[in-house]
Formats: sequence, structure tokens, C-alpha cells
Amino acid sequence: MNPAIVALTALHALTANRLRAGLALLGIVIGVASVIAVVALGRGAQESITSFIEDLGTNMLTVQPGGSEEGLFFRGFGTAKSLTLDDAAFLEDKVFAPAVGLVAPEINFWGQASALQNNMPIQGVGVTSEYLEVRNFTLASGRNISPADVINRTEVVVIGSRVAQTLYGARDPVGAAVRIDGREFTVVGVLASKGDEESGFFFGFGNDTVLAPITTAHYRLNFDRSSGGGVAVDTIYLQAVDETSVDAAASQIETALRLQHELGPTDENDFTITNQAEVLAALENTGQVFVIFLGGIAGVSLLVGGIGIMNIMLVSVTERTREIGIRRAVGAKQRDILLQFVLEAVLLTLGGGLIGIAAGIGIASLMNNFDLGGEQLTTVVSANTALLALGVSVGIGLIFGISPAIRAARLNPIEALRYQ
Amino acid sequence: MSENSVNRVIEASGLARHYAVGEQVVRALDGVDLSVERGEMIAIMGPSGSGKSTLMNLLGCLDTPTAGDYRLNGEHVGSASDDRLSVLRNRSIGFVFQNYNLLPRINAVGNVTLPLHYGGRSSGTSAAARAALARVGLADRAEHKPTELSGGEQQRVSIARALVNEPSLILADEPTGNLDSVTTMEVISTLQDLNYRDGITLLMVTHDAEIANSAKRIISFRDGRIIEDRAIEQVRL
Repeated sequence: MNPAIVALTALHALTANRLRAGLALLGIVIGVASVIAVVALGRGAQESITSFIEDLGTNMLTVQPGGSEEGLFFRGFGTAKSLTLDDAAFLEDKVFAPAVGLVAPEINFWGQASALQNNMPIQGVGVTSEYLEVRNFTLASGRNISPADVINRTEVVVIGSRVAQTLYGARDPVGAAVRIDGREFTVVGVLASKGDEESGFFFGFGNDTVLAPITTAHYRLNFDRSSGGGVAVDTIYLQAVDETSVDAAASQIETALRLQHELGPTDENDFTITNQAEVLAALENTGQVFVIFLGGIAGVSLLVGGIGIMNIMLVSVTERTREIGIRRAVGAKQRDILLQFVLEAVLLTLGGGLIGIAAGIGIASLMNNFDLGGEQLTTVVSANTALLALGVSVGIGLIFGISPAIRAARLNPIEALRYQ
Repeated sequence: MSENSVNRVIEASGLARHYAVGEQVVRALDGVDLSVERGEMIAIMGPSGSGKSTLMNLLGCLDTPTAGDYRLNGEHVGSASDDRLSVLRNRSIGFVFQNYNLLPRINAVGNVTLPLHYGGRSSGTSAAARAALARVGLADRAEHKPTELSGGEQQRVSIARALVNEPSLILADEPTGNLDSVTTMEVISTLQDLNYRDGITLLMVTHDAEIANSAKRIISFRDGRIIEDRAIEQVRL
């Protein structure tokens, strides 16, 4: 039998019982729509994390005190005090670390900042003048921390956009005084807001930051000393000279620091080098797992939809036993009957899949930029997901349609004709 | 092959069909010899359970015999595959059922087209179906659905469906069983006309002696066997 006629016959049979076909279709629509919407949400989250990391620069490396253990996120950093300002100065040496460009050590301190009767907790960072460029910060107004500030331990700060907003409102903070833990500092610059206003969400830095000269931070606010007596730093940020020399820079840093720390050949590193690209890869991998997991949960509803299709097809075969008998009597082969019922199921799921994709894309675009108490949802619909969902729904039609169709094809024509 | 066997549509010998019902074996058909020439019109009579329907199922290639030999146009049917049986039903046989067995959701043309589609024809099917409907006098009812037609009209649609593939044999199982006397005459005269004008071989099961007299030959069954087989003077309606 001509396939086009089989398809027409199948379509005809479906339209004969619109309500039932519609309800069976709904199961697939909901399944496909939720897969599309959920995966779009997951991908959106993944992309915003990725773009956030890329914002920081993929040629960036960080060195932190303490040896590394297995795994990227579990290690003893922050507890040891093995990195010093001298280490940072040593890494600027082009002979030992030619692949390293800018070096920016930092000292963290937490405190309370107050000005004009306003006050707020801040994340203080002791920095050098290279810090802004290495961390991709830009100034909205005023000036950067200068090398002279570092040498002279000047009591000046550059403040984050939200600090400026909270403490000074609409006023220009540059030149104004701010008290941090009881000491008076002068604001010399304001950072441009980085990313979206709430970018502190993922990593807890950005717009709540207050930058002070690293020496000022050490001698006035933090006072941490290394085990060797040097000025302890919490992190050294480094930029590789370009994106292709990140690995070279990492090994040069390791060699240089082992030398500087006088470690023997069998000694473990007392510092940890993290490559931003690695962090990015790990986060992308995590995001991928997250997407697959969510998609899988939504996929269960697709499976339930498939069972609905099978149910409808079984009822349909029983109801149309006589029709099957008539078709067999006038010359339909078993495979003609099989094809007819499989095609009915596939048309049903294909229709459901198409409507589901449209609904899923609709839901995803409604969720996109939806404001969730300050956090903006991002959704990304990919053509691949849509095609996959369509393929899966057709597959479900085949899988769940085949068994009722086989049952129909195997009916004894004489008994089928007698069926009331 | 003799001249005689070329003209033979049905040639059955020792045809038997047994069913196992629990421990017992029901001999629905128990050794039937039958030969039918091209152009015959035969009425098959007999009480319920005498094996008439079983014979029709076997002759119609809906079923295969337990024992015996059945040749349709010289081809052995007993050993044919399910697919081959489907092809034989499609090409060589037309069925007319007591309860018409039309597909309710499609119109007369659609119903008559069905055997053409399963026969693999994809062009000119609608014209052929309309021609078949015209032959049974229903040219003006082509677009009507079965529910919009009278019983006699429905039965004539099913006759059109039976003859659309120009089969060598039409099997009618109590074709007028559901009809009143007026429409019975319509249907029987249609069948007679097909036999007389187009030489279509016709086998028809009936309980009604009057209808049986419209045939040229009457075969009577009892307990799965032929008890009488005689030629008669046909009454033309």
C-alpha cells in the first residue's frame, strides 16, 4: 500500500476521535515542553556562569598558600601562611617566569566601613596597582592605587560601586572620607560596576569590594605574617602573557616558587596554582551534568506520555477489531495493518512533539530575563535540544506504538470480522 | 492442463476443517469435494452449523484447511503464506457480508477504493471505484457515508467493493439476511446481473429457498458434508 495513503488513513483515524487523540497528545506535549524548558533553564545558568568566569579572563592564574589535595575545590588553602609579598615580587622576574605578565598579590580583610552616618560590611582587599588590570576591573571615577601608595602605605581606598552607592548615595565619593575599623581613609577612586548588579551571587566579590594599598592593608588592618616572617598574602593573581602560554606560566611559577621557598626535590608544594581555564572547564562539566540531570527528570514525564500513547493505541486496536478484519478481508497484509497503527502512534507523538517544542520555547522565552528577587533567569534554547526532543517523541511513538500494532496485525481475520 | 481445468475457478477435494474445542474435535467441515466452473452462480444452503460459513472462509482464503486440497484458479491454497493469502483475497476474491462490513467513517468511494489500495494501485483508484459504484446503480451515492445509506444501498456498496478488483469469484454470506423483501430483490438482481452480464462466478449462502432459486445450482450441507448438489432452472429477478 502506498505510504502516503497509509499516512492519510492514520491521520483520518486520529481525527475521528479528536478528544482522545488530543488527550494522548497532551502527555507528549507536556513531556517535550518540560524537557525543552528545563534544559533551556539549565543551559542559561551554565552560560551565565561561563560568561562570568570568562569575564575574569581565561589567561589568569592564581596562586594560593597551602598544598593541594586531590580535587579542585577541596584543599587547605587559606590556612597556611606560606605566600609572601616577596614571592609576588619574585614572580615578576622575567628570567624565572618569562610567560608571566602582570602579577597582583592580594591580602583579604573584612571590616565595617562607615561614612555620612551610613555603614556596611565590606570585603577589603589589599592590592597593588596591577590588581585592576589583572582582575578586569575598571574605574568609574577617580584614580587607581598607585605604586607610591604601596611604598608609602598611604591611607587611601578605591571602593566598589555598591559601597559608593550605600555610603554616599548620589554624592561623589572621590575625595571623601571613609572609616574602616575605626581608621580614616580617603576615597580616591570608584570601580565601575562589574557584570550585573548582583554579580556577587556566585563568588562573593565585585561591587562590595574596598581596595587599599597592600602595605596599608597589612600594617594597618591585617598584620598576618608568614611562617618565615614576611608579609603574608592570601592570593597572588597572575596573568600569562597570552592565552596560549597559560600552561607554560603555571610550570614557571611552580619552579620559581619552589626555588624561592627552598623546597627539596621530595617536598610537596606549599602553594597551589589554579588555572582559570581549568576552573571554567570544571564548572562547565558540572553544568553539563546539571542539565542532563534536569533533562532526565523532565524526560520521565515524556515516558509517562508514551505510556499514555500505548494505552490509547491498545484501546483503539480493540475498538477497531472489526475494521482490521474488513481490511484483512479485502487484501491487507499483516504489515499493512502494522504500518497503519505504528504510523498512527508516530503521527500522534510527532504532533505532540512539535506542539511541545513550540510550548517549551514559549515557556523558556517567558522565563528568560524573569526577575527572581534580584537574580535574572537566563534561558537558552538550543536547536539540538529541540531536534533531540522531536526525535525522542517519534521514538516513543515507535516504541509504545509497536506492541499494539503487532497485536492488531496478528488478529485472526475471521475472528476480527465476527467481533461485535 | 485440459480445457476444462482452465475454466475451473474452484477445485476442492476432501476439504476438511477441524477445531479443537477443549478435549473434543469439532469437524466443522468433513471431507468436501467441490468444483466450480467460471460463470457459475451457486446457492449454498443448510442449517446453522452445517459448515457453510467454514466453507466460505476456506474458499475465501481467510482460513486454511486441516486436510484436503483446495485449488483456486489452479493454485494450491493450503500451503500458501499469510501474505500470499492476502494477495489472493485481494486479487481473486470479493466478499459480500450479511452485515455489509463497510468502514463507517469513510464514504462509499473510500470503501470501494480500499481493495485497490491494498492491491498496490495508486492512480485512477477513484475513477475505478466510481465505475464499480455505477455498475451497482449507486453512481449518485458515491460521496455518502454508510450511515447515510439504506441497508440495500450499503449492501450494493459492498458488492461494488467486492467487484472493483475484478475478482474471479464473489463470495456472498447471506447477503440479504438483514434486508427487507424489496431491497432483497434489488440486491439479488444486482448479483444476478453481474453473473449474467459480466460472467462473474458467484457463491452465495442463503437460508431462503426463494433466493436459492435465483442461482443456477444449489448445494445443500449437513454436518459438514454436502448432501445434495443439483443444477436448477434459474429464476431471473
